[in-house]
Amino acid sequence: MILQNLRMKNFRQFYGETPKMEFACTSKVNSTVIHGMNGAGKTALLNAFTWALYNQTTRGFSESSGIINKLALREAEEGQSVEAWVELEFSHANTTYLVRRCAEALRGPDANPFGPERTLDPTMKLCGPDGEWINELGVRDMIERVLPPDLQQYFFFDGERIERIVEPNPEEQKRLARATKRLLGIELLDLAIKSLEKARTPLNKEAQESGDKDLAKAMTIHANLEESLGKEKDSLEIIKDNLAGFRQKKFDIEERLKKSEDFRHFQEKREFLESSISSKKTEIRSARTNRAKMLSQCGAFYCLNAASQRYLGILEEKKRKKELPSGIKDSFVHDILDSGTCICGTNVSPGQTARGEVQRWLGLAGNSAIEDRAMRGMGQIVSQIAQASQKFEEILESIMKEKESRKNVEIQGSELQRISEILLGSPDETVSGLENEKGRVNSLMEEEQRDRGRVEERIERLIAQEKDAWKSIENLKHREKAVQLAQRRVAVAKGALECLKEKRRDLEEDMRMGLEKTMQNVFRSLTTSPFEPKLDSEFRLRLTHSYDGKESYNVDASQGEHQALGMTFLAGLIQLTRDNNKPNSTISVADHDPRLPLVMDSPFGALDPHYRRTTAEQIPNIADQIVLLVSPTQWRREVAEAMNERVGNHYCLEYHTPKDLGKISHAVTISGRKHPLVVQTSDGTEFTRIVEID
Amino acid sequence: MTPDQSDSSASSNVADQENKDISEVIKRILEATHTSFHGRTVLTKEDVIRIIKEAVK
Repeated sequence: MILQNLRMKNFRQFYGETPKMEFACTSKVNSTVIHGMNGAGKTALLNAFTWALYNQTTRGFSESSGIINKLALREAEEGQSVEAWVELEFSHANTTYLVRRCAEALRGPDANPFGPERTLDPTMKLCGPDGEWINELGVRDMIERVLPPDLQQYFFFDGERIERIVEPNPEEQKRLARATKRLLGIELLDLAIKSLEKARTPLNKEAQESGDKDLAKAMTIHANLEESLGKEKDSLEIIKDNLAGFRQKKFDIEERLKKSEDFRHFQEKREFLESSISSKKTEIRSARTNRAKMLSQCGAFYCLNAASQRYLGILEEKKRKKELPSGIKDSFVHDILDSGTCICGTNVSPGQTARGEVQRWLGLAGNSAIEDRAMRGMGQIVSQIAQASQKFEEILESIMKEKESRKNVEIQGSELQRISEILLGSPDETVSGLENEKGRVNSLMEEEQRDRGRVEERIERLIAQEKDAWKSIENLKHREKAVQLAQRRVAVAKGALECLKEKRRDLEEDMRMGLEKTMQNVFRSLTTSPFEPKLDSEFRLRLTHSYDGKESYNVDASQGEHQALGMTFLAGLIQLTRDNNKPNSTISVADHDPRLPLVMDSPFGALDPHYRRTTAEQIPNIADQIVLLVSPTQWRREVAEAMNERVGNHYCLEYHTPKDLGKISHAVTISGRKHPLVVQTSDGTEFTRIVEID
Repeated sequence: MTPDQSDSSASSNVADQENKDISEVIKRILEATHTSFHGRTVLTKEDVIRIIKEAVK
């Protein structure tokens, strides 16, 4: 931020519209000096800056007496509106801004404002890229971005109150430390840390809404299913082994039975019957499968037979009524009409009744496609019904065959039963024993077969359940990835927080050390004092004295040394802020323009000639732009000599007063010429005029 | 590469990625804080969560 110029109207002592005060702002000539006696309006001018920009005034500036100039109020008629305004032009980041703040009041009967003054919100214009001025909305936000309001006290500085920096009260100290940290960008890191801390809880919560438990549960279910499936499969294997064992046992028995001469033929017959029964049972199963297949293919046609017959009837009826032309095409009808004679020889020339009959076919001829489709559909239906009828014939035949096979199976089963009874009743105990054993093995085999069916059914069900469980696991694994991501985010947020805290600690320490070092350099250049400025961890400013390797904080410093200490603090602060506000700095507080102004009221307060000179030499180096408000007692020869080359503009605050000035000269000498600072008025008016000195 | 070396390489990659993520989150949070600081807007909890989620994918 660089100040360009300032104009006022009726602002405190400044009666009427002042000339534009231009502020020097090149790197070599960067200082402007404004001279004025005490009470002429130096502090008012300092406050013109802060009032215009922030609607704030310094502590030494009493607002109770109002903003609007008394003379302007007195000159207005009763009830007339009087305004005061300040216009400040400044540039920032290659853009020029004009900010204007206004106050207005109505003149009351006793030359005072009628009711309270009203301060109007500032308006702002900014200079566009083509040089035109455009209105800027959100003026306050914009100004706060350029230079935050709680830092303005260091850039628009009341030098007479510099002791507030050196020996602040605890409350002031806290404010000073906070503002300093803010200026140095530490507060920005604090905000980032606070923001991250706020976000951690919801992030943790998200990560804890874990799919872990669900996945573990699903895995357990899947594992249990797999275990059950394994057990069932094992059981099935055992059953199969048992069955194989029984089959072998049965085979052995049968072989032994065949060895008996008397019963061999029984056994052989039984084998034949068993084989026949088995073959018939296979045929029955196969026939059933075929019937099911045939039914699924043509069952619907059979069931819809009545509807199909009705459909065919409708088509036939329509055809009979000639509502569906039989394949007559448009072109054929047109040919008849064109020739004037029908294929039957009837005259169908225009005007003939028969021509109308033929023309009716034209309207219907357009439906030939429908007729084609209808006829094709009819053909398909007839064919399908015929096929369905044939299939049903086959189905019926198959049912009859099955019935026959069943009957045969039943008969053969009875025959087997009879053979078994004969064998059981055999006097040969070996034969009857073998038959008895065979019966037992058959029962066991039937039992095993039933078990096998049950186990196979369970296996089928378990396989389906296992598939579903695996699907759930896949879904949960997908969710698990989201959970892992959430946990990664928690870890990153934690890491970022720790890093930022560390960075903040380092930055605070670096800034404190940097500020202290700059201050010590500036202090040494200002004074010959044996003391040294130090900043403690709380950014408290102190003068210390090292003696015999010991550091003492209780030093008896002079008022001049304290004032120099305050100045060094400002210098250090501005220097570090400038460094921080360079582009690419992530912790800048003044919106990326490293240039900063310093407007100082009475900077040489209580300094002796030596300190005054050294301070004057250093002041133009403290900031990019300096505006000094000084009294003649402060603008001494040594100060003028020290600053001469850096000063671009001088202005005088010419104080007009009806008071008798006596013989005392109230003037300032600049470049060998005297300029009056106080002028006696004869009409009783009191005001200040701004005069530019060439 | 032995299984131990493989494990060590994998965990080193994870740590590298985490450090990259941390740097990216810090960068984005500082930028957002800076913008909100100068724009006089509030950087909400939701904003920070969104920033982290965008940075760590």
